[in-house]
Amino acid sequence: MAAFRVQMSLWKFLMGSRGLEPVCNQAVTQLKPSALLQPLPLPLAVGLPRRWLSSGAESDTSKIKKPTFMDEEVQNILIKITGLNLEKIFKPAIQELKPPTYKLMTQAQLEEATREAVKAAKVRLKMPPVLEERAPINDVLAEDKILEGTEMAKYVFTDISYNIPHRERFIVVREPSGTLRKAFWEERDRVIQIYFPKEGRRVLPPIIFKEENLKTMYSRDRHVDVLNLCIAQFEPDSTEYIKIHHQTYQDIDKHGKYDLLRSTRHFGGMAWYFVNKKNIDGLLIDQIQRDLTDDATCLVQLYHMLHPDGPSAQEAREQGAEGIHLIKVFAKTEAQKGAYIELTLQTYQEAFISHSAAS
Amino acid sequence: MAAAVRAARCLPSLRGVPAGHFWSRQLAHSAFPAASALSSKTGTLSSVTAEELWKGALAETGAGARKGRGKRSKKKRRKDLNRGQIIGEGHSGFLWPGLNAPLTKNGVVQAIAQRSKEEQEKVEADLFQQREEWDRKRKIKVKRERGWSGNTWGGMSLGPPDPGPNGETYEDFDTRILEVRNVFNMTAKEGRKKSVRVLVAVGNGRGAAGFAIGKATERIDAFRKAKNKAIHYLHYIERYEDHTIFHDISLRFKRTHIKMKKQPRGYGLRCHRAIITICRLIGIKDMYAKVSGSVNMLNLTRGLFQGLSRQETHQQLADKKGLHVVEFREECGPLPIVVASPQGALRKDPEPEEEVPDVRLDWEEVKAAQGMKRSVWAGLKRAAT
Repeated sequence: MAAFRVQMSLWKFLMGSRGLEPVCNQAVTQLKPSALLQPLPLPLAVGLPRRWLSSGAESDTSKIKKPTFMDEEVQNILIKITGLNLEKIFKPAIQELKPPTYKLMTQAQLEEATREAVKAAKVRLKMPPVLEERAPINDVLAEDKILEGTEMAKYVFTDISYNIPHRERFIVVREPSGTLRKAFWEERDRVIQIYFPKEGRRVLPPIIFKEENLKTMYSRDRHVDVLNLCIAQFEPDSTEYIKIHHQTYQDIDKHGKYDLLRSTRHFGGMAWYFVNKKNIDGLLIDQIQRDLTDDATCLVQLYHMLHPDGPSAQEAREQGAEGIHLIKVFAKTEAQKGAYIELTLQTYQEAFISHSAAS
Repeated sequence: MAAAVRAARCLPSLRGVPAGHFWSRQLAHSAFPAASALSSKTGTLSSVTAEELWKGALAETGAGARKGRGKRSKKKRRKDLNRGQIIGEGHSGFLWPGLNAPLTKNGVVQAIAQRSKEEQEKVEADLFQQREEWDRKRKIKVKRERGWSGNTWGGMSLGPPDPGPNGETYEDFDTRILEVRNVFNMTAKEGRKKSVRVLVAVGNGRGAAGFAIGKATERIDAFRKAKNKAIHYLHYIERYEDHTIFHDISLRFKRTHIKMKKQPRGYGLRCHRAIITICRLIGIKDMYAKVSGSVNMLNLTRGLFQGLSRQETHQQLADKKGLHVVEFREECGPLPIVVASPQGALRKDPEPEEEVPDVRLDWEEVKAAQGMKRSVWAGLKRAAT
């Protein structure tokens, strides 16, 4: 029940207040299988449940194609605004220390080494997938009233053959009342972790994901650690994963701590969440304050890609706005904190002029 | 006759009177009737000073005390028996105004009085208690700081060196003793003459350190000499990020081999205890050092200072080779960190790299790496630093 409500609210985020055709809904809510079959950063099972593949064919027939998280343009924009701060990406990890090694390098060798480091950084910055919440499983296979009262506990039967993708495994539960049903998603995750343990994942979710403990983590600015633990523990389409991610993003938005996630692999997901929720004001202000106006323009472009029928997108198309002008158009039309954005832009422009005059 | 003269000296008030045993007795009777009891107690036969008595009792000079034959347990200590004594206090308990009683009370000159028996007993008991307490206080063993172990002077601190003649103070320098040795020299007159030789190191924990030896007959004089000499022989030792050396050093000084390895933060000083002391004075916090061959303290110290002073900083290496010195840390992944760039020209051609590095291997290290070393002391868990 709670899952359904969450799903409904998710749909609302994506649709906005405009009414779309039901065909479009399907295209939005169900994923393009081809996009998901690309190599994912996590060692997830590659195969999808068969029912999703069949509905994917319908989305190609819709006229307005809503950009998904996995689209190339969207990914390019998100990678651009994430930034590439090598110092932060390769922060010293907490591990057993060994004395450093030294090399004598020419300028060319140094640049080569930096390029290698940038390549490794890009691998580290691969974004975890943003998926829809999975529909709960309510499939009953058999009802045997004869067995009622014979057993006191539930029995879980799992197919532990090695070469089946985890999503296609058969896991069934025989209740004490005699019903034979398919296991729920949480039960599936727990049982798969018992038989095929993954590193960093616990059978039962650790207590750090409880409300009070999450609040403590947020107060200590450890949002990145929370998100990393969440990725390790939960599947990307599970309720808890999405809930924790949204909670973290909301806390960051409330306190304006966007810089914590910059140069991490979570920044793209955060930006995507804000754009879908139409709440990019705080992020824009933070970017302008840090002199990242190109990133701000990219963010507004992404917003226009996702909401092409909004007032700001139409204004921009009419005026043919570019660069800072685009941000001004957005600030005037759709932003909640439009005044703040304009003020920050003004301050930035004055600072820019004075700096260029001085130099 | 001589005894009588000495008696007269003891009683200064009767100096003018021709001294005589009989005379002094008579005078005592007539002038101070109460004081007759006192005079009978003074030793009028042979009066000796406390100094002379103690000199006789302690026997500091003598054949037994010379040439280091005196045992430490047989040494007696001088005690001042007149401590706590007030002139005027006596066994009878008389109160003499001006001596042990106030001279005037409300403007009236007081007369000579006597204490009651109980009061006198109490006063005497108090004095006895006080003297016992003084004795107890003197017997308490003062806890002194331990050096490397209980009975050794190595590793003990001597405080900062004494200020110089032009007013310079060395408050931030700490001195540590490294070795105290009794050395002997044959002389013509006394034969074996003992001298104390002390090796001391000073340092301020920020790179400036030095060492010196001081020699004197007495231990404390030797400490002082060494301390004040060491402060004039300071080396400045470059440290990498203020916690370790720049690179591994393996050196041989006379017959002492020292092999020092650079370690990351938090490793601590796992070295010979003398090297730990010296590194603490320099300010090095993380290092591994192995001493093999001779462990002569003086050569060890000299070799260590020589090796540390001849370190090549990253900047010097970069200038020498004309290339960037780039650091790769395990915990930072493949990120290159440029530590030093050459100040002069930057070379274009890279450093030649062979497949097999032309480095002299250390057999002990190879054995340890291959697992051939059977030693109980390798990898032993000790207390930090």
